[in-house]
Amino acid sequence: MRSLNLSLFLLLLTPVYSAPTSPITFGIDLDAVLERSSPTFQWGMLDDANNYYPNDGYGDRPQEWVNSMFGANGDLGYMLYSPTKNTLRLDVSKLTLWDDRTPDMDDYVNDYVLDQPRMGSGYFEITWWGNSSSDLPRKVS
Amino acid sequence: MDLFKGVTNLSVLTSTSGEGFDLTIFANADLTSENVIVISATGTGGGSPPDITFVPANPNNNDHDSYIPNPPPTTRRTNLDEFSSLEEIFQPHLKGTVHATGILRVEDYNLNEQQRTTIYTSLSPVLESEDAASEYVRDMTIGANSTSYSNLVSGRRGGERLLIRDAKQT
Repeated sequence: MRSLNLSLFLLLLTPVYSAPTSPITFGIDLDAVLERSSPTFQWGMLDDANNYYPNDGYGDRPQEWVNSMFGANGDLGYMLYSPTKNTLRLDVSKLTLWDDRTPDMDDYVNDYVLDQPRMGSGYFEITWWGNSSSDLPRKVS
Repeated sequence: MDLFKGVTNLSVLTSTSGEGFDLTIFANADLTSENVIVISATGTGGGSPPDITFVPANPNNNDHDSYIPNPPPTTRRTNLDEFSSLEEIFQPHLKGTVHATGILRVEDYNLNEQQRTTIYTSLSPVLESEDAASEYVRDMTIGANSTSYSNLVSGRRGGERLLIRDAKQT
């Protein structure tokens, strides 16, 4: 019986240690399948007079987080949008960072929104500048 | 956006003469230090990379009088070598704990001699001290920077990553 238990134990371990990367394989080309759903965004196009116009068939740029592009890796995440036409904003946050106020704290107000909000960490501001032939803001040095 | 690789590519034209930059965001930047997102900007058409600055969250950004904000964050900058610098933002909490944001910035040129800015960013979990939070984000960002840039571009696939994580849990 003891030998049987040992054999079963080793049998259970076998797939884990024999697989080079993962014991799970797909019979499909996941890259190609997902490629069909990979979104493309385009905005801020210029018309013949070098003016920006929002009704170019693609829509205006995402100006707020509610219509941002977003990505994540299961732990960190980001939201990307364009508050002005020469800036991008990349908000970064972490899954486990919450403003976790508990009843033992003086500032606990027994309100889910106030006591348990996602804690923001900050954002990257990505800015580019115009030159003499552009209507973008010039860099002030 | 490439959903399989977790990569976002942007091409930005900043002038009608073709100057601009490419911006790439890697969500799954490094298999060995998962808590890293990488941003890479390269000038194109004779253009330069954009200015990229990090703005720490304002803990007092709340309009409720009853809310007691966390203390203000502090920032520490360290030059690591000629091309790279590390910025650490420490956010203390009311309970005495802290979390940190690490931003490793590398300024160099790619193989086509185009000016490039690469930023490795990591967020620590809530930890007991500033030193512990600093050690965490330093390990993550500097560790991710030790991999080659070509590996960032070609070697990171979100699907494989999830399979490995699932296998470990089971």
